[in-house]
Amino acid sequence: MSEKPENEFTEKKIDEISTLEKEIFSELEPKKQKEGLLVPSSMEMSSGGVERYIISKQISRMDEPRKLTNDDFSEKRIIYPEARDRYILNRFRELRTRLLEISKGNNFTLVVTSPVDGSGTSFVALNLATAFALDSSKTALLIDCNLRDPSLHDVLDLIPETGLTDFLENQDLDIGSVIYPSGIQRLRIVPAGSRRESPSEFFTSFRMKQFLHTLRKRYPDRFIFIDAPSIQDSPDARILVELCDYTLLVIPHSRVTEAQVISAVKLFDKDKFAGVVING
Amino acid sequence: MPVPLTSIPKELIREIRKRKWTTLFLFAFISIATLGVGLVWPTKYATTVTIFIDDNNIIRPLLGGSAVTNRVTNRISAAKEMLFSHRVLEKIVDLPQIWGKKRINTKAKREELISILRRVIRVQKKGAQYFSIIYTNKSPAISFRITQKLGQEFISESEAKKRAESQNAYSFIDKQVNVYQQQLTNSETKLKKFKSKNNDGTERESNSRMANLRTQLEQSVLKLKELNVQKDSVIAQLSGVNRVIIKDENTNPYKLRIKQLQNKRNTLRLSYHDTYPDIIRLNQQINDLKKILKEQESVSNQEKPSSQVVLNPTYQALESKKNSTETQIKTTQIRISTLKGLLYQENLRMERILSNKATFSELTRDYMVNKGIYNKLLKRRETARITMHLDIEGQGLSYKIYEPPEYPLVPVGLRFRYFALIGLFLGLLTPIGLYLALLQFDNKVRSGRLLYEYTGIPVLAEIPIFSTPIEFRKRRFHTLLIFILSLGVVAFYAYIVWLRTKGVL
Repeated sequence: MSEKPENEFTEKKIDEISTLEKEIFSELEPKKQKEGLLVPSSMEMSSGGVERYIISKQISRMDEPRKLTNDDFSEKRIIYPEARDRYILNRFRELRTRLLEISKGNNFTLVVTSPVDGSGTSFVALNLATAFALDSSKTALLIDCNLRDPSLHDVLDLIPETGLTDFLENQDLDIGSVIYPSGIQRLRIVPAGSRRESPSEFFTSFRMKQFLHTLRKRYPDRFIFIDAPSIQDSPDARILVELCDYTLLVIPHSRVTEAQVISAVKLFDKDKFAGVVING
Repeated sequence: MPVPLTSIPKELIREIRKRKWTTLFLFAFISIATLGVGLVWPTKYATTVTIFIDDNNIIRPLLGGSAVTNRVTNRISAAKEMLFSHRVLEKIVDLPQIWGKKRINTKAKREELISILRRVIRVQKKGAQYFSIIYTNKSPAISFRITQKLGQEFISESEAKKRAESQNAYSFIDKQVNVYQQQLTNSETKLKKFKSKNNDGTERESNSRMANLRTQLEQSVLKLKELNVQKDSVIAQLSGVNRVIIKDENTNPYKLRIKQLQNKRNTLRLSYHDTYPDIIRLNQQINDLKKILKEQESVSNQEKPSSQVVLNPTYQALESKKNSTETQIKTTQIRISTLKGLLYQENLRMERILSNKATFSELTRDYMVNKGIYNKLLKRRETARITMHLDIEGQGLSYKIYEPPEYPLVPVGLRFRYFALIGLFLGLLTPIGLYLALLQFDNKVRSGRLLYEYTGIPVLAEIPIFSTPIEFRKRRFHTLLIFILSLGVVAFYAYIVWLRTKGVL
C-alpha cells in the first residue's frame, strides 16, 4: 500500500511550510543554518507556533491502515510501550536520547551497520526507529538497504509491490509509492525491493542521493534510519554513510575481537561516527 | 579483552545458558567417568612393621672405649641392602603359606618373584633410629604374612651378621697375636744367642775398666820412680856409714844416767844459778849415782873394759831399708807389666765390643719393637674378646621390632569412596572451569565499558537478548528438562555408589 495524501489540505500545508521555511531562513542570519546536510528541526524554527501546530496535527493524522498488536510486537521482537519487561525498552530509549544529544536535537539520517553478519543490525535499526517513533513529536523512516538479504518487510508482514531498488531503477516512480506504513505508529518503512545480483552500484548513483535529499526535504520532521549490510558483506555501508549524517555500529556480544571493532570504526569518518551498540 | 571481575558471574551464567546441553553432557560424562574409574581402581593393602635401631646401651659407657660398638654410618640403607639380599628374599619365596600350596620350583619363577618383591618392598626412614618395612598387595593376608616374615628374617639376619662380624674380628686379632708372639720369641732367642757369644759387656764397662787400669798403671809407674829414688838415696847414705862400730865404753847404765843428769844440769845452768833448787837436786842425784858407780867399779875392778866390734845398727837399718826398697821395686815392676798386659786385653775387648755394637743394637731394637707390638695386640685381643661376648649376649647394636605388623583392614591409596565424593563436584566444576577459562582467554568483546576504556570508542547502549514468548517458553522447557536430566544423572550416580557399597559391583 502506498501512501496517498490524506487530504488536499495536508498536501497544501506541506508546500506552504516549505515556502515558509525558505522565507524564514532568508531572514535569519546565515550562521543559523548549518552547512552540510542537516535540515534544521522543525522545532527550532523561530516563533513557529503555528507551524508546530500544523506539524503536530500532521503527525497525529498520519494514517495507519494497520496496527500491530502488543502480541505481534513481542513476537517480532519490537519494543512497545506497554511491555512488561521494560529493560530493553529503556535501553533503546537511552540510545535514542544519546543520539539526540549527539545531533543536538536535530533530525538526522543514520546508517546502522555492523562489522560481521548476523549481528542483529536489522533488529537494532528497527527498534531504534520504533524508539524514535514512540515519541509523539517525532516520526521515523526506516530504509532497508540490505539488498542481498532484506528482512524488514518480512518482520513487519509487508508484501511490497515496489521497493528501493525499483525506485532507483525506475525514474518515473514517485517517492510516495515506496514509502509504506509499518504497522507501528509514526514509523514508515522503505523496503528493499526485489533482489538484485550486484547491488553495489545502486547507492553510488545520483538517484540515491536525490532520493535521500528529497526525503529530507519533504519530511523535515522525520528521522531517517538506514539498515545497511555488514562491512564484511559489502561496501554499501561506507557508501551510504557518505550520504548520511551519522553511522552506528552494532557489535554482537562475544563474537568480535577488539581489533575487529577498531578496524571497523576506522573505516568511517570521525565526525559521522556516532558510536557503538553491543547487541546480544 | 578480559572480562572484568564483577561481571564474571553474569557472563558465566550467560555462557552456561548458551551451551546448556554441552554443560549437561560434560557434567554427566565427567561424573560417571570418575565413578567408573573409581570402580575399577585396584584396592591395595599395606602392612607396616617398624624396627627400632638400638645402639645406646649402659654397657658401652661403662666399658668406656674398651669395647667397640658397631658404628654403621647409614644404618638404614645398610638395613635396606640386607633386606633386599638374595638370601633373605629366598626365604620369603620359599614359604608355601604365602604363595599357595603349589611350590615354586623353577628357578626362573623364583627369580621373578624375588624381583617383584624387591620392587614392592619399601623401606622408609621414620626418624633417627626407626625405620619401617612396608609391603603392599591386593590381598591383605599376603601383605600381612610377608611383612611379618620380613621383619623376623631381618632381625635374625642382622643378629647373625653381627655375631659373625665380631667373631671374625676376634679370630683375626688372635691370629695376629700368635704371629707376633712367634716373631717375638725369634728375636728373643737371637738376642740371647748373640749375648751369650759376645759377653764382653758393654762399651761403657770396658771404658771404665780401661780407665781404671790406666790409673793404676800410672800410679805404679810413679811409685816405681819413687822407689828408685829412694834406693839411690839409701845407697848413698849407706856408703857414708861404717859397717861396724867399736864400743869403747861400757854402756853402763849408771854412767849413762850420770851423763843424762849432767846434760840436764848443764841445760838448767844456762838459765838459772847454781842455787836453783832443781840444780841442787840434780847435783845430789849425780853425786849419788857417782858413789854407786864407784862401788860397782870396785867390785868388778878386775874386768878390763872389753872393746866389742859390733855391726853398726844404722848401717843395718839402712841395709834392710835398701833391701825392702829393692823388693818393692821388683814388685812394682811386675805389677806394671801385668797392668800393661791387662790394658792390652781390654783394648782388644773394646774393639770387639764396638764391632758388635751395630748388630747388638739392631737385635735389641728388633726385640723391643716386637715386644711393644705384642703387648698392644694382647690388649686389643682382650677388647675384641669382650666385644664378642657383648654381641653373644645381645648387647651392643641390635635391631628390635618396635611395632609389630597389624593385619590391614583398610586399603591404602585411592579408594572408591574418594572417587565417589569428588565425582559430582568434578562434573560440576569442569564445565564451569572451562567456561571461566574461555572467558579469560577468549578476546572477544563482551563489555561495553571495557571497550570504551580500551579504545575510546563511545558505546551508546548495550542491548540484552530479546526473546520472543515462544523462545522464552522453549528455553524454560529446555532448562527444566536439563534440570531433570541432571537429577537423573545424580540419581544414577547415587545408585551406582549404593550398589558398590552393597558389594554388588
